[in-house]
Amino acid sequence: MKITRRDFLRINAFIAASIAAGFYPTKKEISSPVVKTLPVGPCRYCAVGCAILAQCEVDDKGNVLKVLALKGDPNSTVNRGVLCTKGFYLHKALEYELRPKKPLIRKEWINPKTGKPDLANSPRVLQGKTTKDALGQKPSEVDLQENFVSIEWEDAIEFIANAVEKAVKEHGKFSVAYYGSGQAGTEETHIMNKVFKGGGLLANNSIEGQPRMCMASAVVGYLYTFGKDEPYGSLDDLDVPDPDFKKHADTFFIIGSNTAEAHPILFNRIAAVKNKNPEKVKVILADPRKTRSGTIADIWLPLASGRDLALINSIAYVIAFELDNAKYDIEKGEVTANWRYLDKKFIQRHVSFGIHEDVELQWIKTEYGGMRATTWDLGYTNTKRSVYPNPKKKYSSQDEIEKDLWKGFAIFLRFLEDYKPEKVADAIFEGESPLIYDRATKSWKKISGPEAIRIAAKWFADGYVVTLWTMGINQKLQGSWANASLHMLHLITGKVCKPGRHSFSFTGQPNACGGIRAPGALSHALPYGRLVANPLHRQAVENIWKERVRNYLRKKGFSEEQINNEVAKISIHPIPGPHTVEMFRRYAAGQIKVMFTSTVNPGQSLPYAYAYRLACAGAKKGEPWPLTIVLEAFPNATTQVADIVLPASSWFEKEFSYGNLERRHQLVKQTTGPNGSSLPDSVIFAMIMRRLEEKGIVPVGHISQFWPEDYGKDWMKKTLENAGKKEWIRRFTANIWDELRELSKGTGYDFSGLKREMLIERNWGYRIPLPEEYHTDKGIKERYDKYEARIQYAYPYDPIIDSRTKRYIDTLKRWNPVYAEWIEKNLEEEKKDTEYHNRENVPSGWYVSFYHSNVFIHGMVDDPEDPSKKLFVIDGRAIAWANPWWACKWDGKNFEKYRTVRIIERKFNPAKVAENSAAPYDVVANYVANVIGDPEKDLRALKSIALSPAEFAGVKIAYVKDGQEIVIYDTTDFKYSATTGRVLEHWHTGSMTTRVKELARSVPGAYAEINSELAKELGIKDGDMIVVETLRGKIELKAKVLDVLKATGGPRKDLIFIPWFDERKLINMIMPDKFDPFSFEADYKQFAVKIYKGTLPRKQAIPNTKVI
Amino acid sequence: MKRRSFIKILSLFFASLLISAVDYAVYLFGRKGREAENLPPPLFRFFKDKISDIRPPGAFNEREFIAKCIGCSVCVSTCKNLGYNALSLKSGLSDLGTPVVDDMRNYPCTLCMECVKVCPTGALNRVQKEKVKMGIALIDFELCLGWNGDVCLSCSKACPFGASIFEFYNSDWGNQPFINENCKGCGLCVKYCPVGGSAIRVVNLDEYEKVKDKYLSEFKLLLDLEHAHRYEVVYSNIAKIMERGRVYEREFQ
Repeated sequence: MKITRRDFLRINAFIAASIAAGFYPTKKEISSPVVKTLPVGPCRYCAVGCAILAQCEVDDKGNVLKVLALKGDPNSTVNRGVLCTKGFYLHKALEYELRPKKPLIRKEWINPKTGKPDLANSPRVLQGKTTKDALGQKPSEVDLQENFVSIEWEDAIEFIANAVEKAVKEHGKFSVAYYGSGQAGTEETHIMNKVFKGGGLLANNSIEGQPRMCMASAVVGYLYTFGKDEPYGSLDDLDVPDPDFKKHADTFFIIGSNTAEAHPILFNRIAAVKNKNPEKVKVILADPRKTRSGTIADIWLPLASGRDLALINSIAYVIAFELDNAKYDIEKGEVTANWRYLDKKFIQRHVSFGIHEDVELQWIKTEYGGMRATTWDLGYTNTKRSVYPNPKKKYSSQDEIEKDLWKGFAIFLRFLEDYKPEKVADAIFEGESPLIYDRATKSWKKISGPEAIRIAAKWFADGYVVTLWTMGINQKLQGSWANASLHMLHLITGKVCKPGRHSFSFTGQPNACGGIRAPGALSHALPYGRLVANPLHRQAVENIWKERVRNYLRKKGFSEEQINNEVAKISIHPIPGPHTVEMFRRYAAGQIKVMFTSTVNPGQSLPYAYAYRLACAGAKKGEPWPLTIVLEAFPNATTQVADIVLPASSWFEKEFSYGNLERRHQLVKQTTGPNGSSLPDSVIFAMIMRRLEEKGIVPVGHISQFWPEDYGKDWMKKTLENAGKKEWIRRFTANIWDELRELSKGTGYDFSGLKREMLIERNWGYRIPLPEEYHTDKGIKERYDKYEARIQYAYPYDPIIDSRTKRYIDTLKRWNPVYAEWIEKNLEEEKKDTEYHNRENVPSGWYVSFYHSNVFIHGMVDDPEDPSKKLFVIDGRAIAWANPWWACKWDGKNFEKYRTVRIIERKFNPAKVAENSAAPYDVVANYVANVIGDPEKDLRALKSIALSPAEFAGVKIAYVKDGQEIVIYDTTDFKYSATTGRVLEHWHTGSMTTRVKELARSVPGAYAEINSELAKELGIKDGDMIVVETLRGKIELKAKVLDVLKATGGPRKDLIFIPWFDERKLINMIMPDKFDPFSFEADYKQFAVKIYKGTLPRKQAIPNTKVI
Repeated sequence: MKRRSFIKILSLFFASLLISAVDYAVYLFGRKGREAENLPPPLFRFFKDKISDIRPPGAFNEREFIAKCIGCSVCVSTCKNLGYNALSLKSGLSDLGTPVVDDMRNYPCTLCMECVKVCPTGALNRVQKEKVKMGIALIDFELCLGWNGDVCLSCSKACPFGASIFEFYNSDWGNQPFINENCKGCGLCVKYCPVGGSAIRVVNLDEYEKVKDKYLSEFKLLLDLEHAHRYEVVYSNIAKIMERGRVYEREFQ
């Protein structure tokens, strides 16, 4: 071997250098001056609200140069320093280069002469041309680049304000609407809520948000049961030992939720509890799919979609009759039992029974005209009902009240008899076998339906149970009743308002609670538990708004006459506006002309999105309508059908607050500057509304009062210059927060004590209620500091329970003194019931009082002292409902199944909207039709009177009228069912997460999960391309074959699962838009499909051209 | 042997010692964080990007495989025709022309088991996928999100055998995954790991035997770390994880 000395040295040097370079990149990485960790606040994604810290490179002034990494805040009791992959890569989503940076408007809106957008002289109006694409054939980022031009903010705001003015003046105030978001900051939503509820010529209640499609059923379920929305317990119930007895849950009933992927941080906490004690801790999974959540489950109840009520009632049956030996007598009003599982004292003191006496199924046909054509919706009646005992009844003695209570309980038990497991197991499981986990052999074994129900009921009855659910329960036609029934299970067993025992509806979106539900930013609601339809509520809110405008205008030097003029304009319209699906139907019908959206992606997320994309993408010659105005931070399926896109700042580019799923409010703090010329949604809305104040559409001062500086005439320019700055947005949102605190004062959401500085200072925020008294009353402060409001409606955990209880008892005494004394007696007894406290592991003095129950059900009565005034009917008792799965009528002895269905045919009448914005229809026909078959004997016939789901697979729902067959839908050839849902790696519509390379790698695109047995039958192998066809269109997807018994489980044999995050596979375009008749939340979890191997000419979903 | 050659060899020997010393010094320097925790060195310090040869499914004993494989490449074509592209032919000096699973990060084996059907010599045994033993997947605990304060499920969802292979040590810290010895070594988890360059590597069984003790002891040590202590370790790893994303950016679309 010949090597010269030189070569030798060269080689060594080379080797040494390459070793150094190859192995030790660490030395090269961070060469910046200073790296600081800054608190950011809650995550942008789900409602768990993990607190986040950002590791940033900062300059010597402390300004952030670059965000290096995100980590969980170890101080937060919610996530304790952990994040999921979405949160971990959040800052990368914001770095996406193709985000809109300037206001963008479609080319066809530009007047070629002026170069500015024009409501009259632009190709869009003159020729009716548009580049909006309802079919979603081009990626949204390409559409944004090719078909839009950028304009200045001033021009955009002027154009929009003119459009709103024109719509209101020419077509009335109901022609403008807003579809908002449970992901927008609380302060951002409040501006629109304030305008659409009390903003003069825009006060039309036409404001909605996507929590309607997510949590509305939970809201109504809470209202039916407790008279007030939002969870009463907290996340502490899962695994945080309470300060007094160190108790938390030891049994988890997961129903209609894939917690592992939807709330991964919480799943982890539950899995940790399970792991510490795998034998004793029980996990029940009730879901049509055995998902990743099933890896810690002990039993899988594979109910078919929409059979939840039958299952829940069946579990209640087992607990009452089989485990607790209950016997009842309706005549005498008596109930006996062992009272080991049914909690006699709790029922006596806190639970009233709600019985539906006539639940009739209705099919409602509505002709809308325009792009939505005609719809068939399923409804059922909920009036003709009784509550036992009835607070409005003038009882003559306490004995009479007690008898009524037990009579109600007896009727309730009679109701449960129809849900004996053997009677309903077939309808619930329909051919799929429940599985139980054998720890010794680490395998799953099949058991029968009734056996599975009994095992689940026993575990439920024995343990400290947290029942948790999300969309599987909510996004169903019977969502509100399923919610109420889950609460019922906990109420009759006394597993309510005690540590570790909680019927916990898990919220999906980060700010559905804090920003939409609590502040009432929906078409029927007003802030903090108030309703549009209630005159007392309207008055309370109007007064606050009027006072604020008055004060502001006085400071600005307006005359008293001017002030009175403006204040008089603040008047809340007394009739609710349209719910979400109805709103978009009216947009499709052409009655609504202008639609605002923010922080939401209806072009992808609405049920039967095709019809509503057509609505948004419409264009008519001679008119500037429909005009779709979208505030967005990312190109997505909605910008594809938008006319104008206003660039919104995202997450830590602005400051705003979020309220998470356990009543915890946290503040997102601005960490970086805005993206290009984007602005926070709160500022964009405020500027548009301020311009409308100048035009006289919105009362002056209504929104402009929030500005941190008094800018005079030049306000738009100065705002554009300054609103991107941290200090400006901090003060602006703090002003809005003050109004929110004022609105919450005295309500069940009271956070008047939560000052803005407190939120700024503590990264993981505070749970509410947090009343003003926290700062003045030592006792309340002590209790809050110890328990942090972990349980509402129970002393000592709830800081406002004493004052609220006194209030309703005092009121009750005025108009029903006998009843009021009975209520008071029960509470006083409970406070001293040491035996009960010890048995239940609750502190001394513990008592429960549902201080909002239940205005939603009982309404108001006349004030006996002043009949012109009304009083809220509140008796502090929760209501346990007997909610049937099928249409039936109570005749005193039996709940007879209906053998008929009511058909209502009606026409949407745009002219009637002004007079009745909730129901502007002309009824054309109303008649009753016979059901084919016997619902008592035949499952098919039972399905035709079942209240959920609306679209069964493999049936024909048709009736004969005047010798003609009316087909409502026919899925005879569509033998399988499909459901949609989420995966861990992608948030909702993926507009943010699919743009993060790491997350896109883990789950690149949509697919169809299919059971291995079904796949074998259809000749489909893993990875094959298949076509999924519905009544409304078809889509091509890759098959992912899963075996229920292997790996991380799979779906029922007759069900396929399709994730909905993929913009290139808009599955929602071809599914139906049926909704719960009380919450108006759509059913995303069950529609009928054909499945076969094959491909389609288009990769995107192909909707049938005819809209049905 | 001539003196010159002897000196050459000796000097080469010393040079390599010197290199190792420099190597070790720089390593010590860069290792300060982990040194402080008294942890063993990160696993992949001993592996380069391409570690050991992974044979197609159905190959069991390497010597037996080499003896029987005639380099006909029918398995490679079959795999390519099915669209999986997992197999390719070795081009090295030894066993030229024999098949390996080359790039698991992009083309892992999907255990379709078609290659075993077409092997003419039986170098690939016709077994069911449950019996396959291509290697074992090892997790780099420094890079895995599940071990560093994040909840990630992607690897377990990609695995065709799931719960029989993936063990999850759930704590309120995250869901630390552990791949046990039932792993078939197909590499699907390697592909779907979101961390740049993947936090999982498949090594063949011989390599596994060499590092097994160190790997398992690191695993036990990390599992038993106290919460506060864990926090410090995790936070020092996060920067490395983000860096991997930048370094491997070219692998994303």
